[in-house]
Amino acid sequence: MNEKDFIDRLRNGDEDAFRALVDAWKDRIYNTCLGLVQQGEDAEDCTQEVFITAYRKIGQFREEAAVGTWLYRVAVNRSLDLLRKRSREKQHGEWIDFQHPGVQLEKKQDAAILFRAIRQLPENQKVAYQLQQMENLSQREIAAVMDISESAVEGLLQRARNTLRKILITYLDKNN
Amino acid sequence: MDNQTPLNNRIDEILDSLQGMQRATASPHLYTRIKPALAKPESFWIQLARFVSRPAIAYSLSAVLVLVNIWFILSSPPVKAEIANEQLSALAAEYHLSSVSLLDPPNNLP
Repeated sequence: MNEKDFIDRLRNGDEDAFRALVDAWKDRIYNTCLGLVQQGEDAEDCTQEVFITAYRKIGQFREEAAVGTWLYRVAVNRSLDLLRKRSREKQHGEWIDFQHPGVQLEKKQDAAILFRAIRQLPENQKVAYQLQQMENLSQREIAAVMDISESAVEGLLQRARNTLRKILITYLDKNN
Repeated sequence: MDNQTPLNNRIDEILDSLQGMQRATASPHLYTRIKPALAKPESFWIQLARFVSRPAIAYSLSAVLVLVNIWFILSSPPVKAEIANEQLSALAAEYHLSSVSLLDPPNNLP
């Protein structure tokens, strides 16, 4: 079955098609949300909301983008909404170090430092960097998700790396 | 300079710490959790907010508001200066207001 037929089935409220969509994409969407919100429960809520939104808004889906691109976009927007809400509520206060379950054991400590630094990046740099690091998306795919040009993505990734270096220099100076 | 190289190496190490990471997996019960939410109809207000926030609808409503404002401004008759003057004259006459000159004798009456 091609993607067009699959989307038609989704638009017609076909439950099997929707279940197939969830099964195919749930890990990628959860991983994306987790990388951005850096909190397991919030990432689960975010993932659920992404698929509920997808189910309700499939009628608004423009077929010039792939379904995956669209889901990533919804996931990024939901994650950023959640992050803004959390920062308004100041619920977390001092952030707890985030341990991503997929990081190799010997790298866990360094990864926690890196995730802490990533939190301080501006939103668009954070999104581009996380989509590249967490989901191994190419610059073209990131550009499609963020609806910007590839050269803009390249610039964002370069700036993100430079900013992270500065943040890490400050962190290491303070902690050594 | 000697201190810079170990620091840079350390930073590279931290930046490379996500290399080779595995993707986190969602809960196996995700679909079971989503399903009841799909059956629940969206509230009227959420549907209304979603409808109004569509770019085409939002721009159209803004344009209508601007046009209604322009129509009100253009259709309301201009305030005539004569009417305003007449009202002021009547008020001045009623309260015996007149221009006071420095040459007017002071009012020393009790």
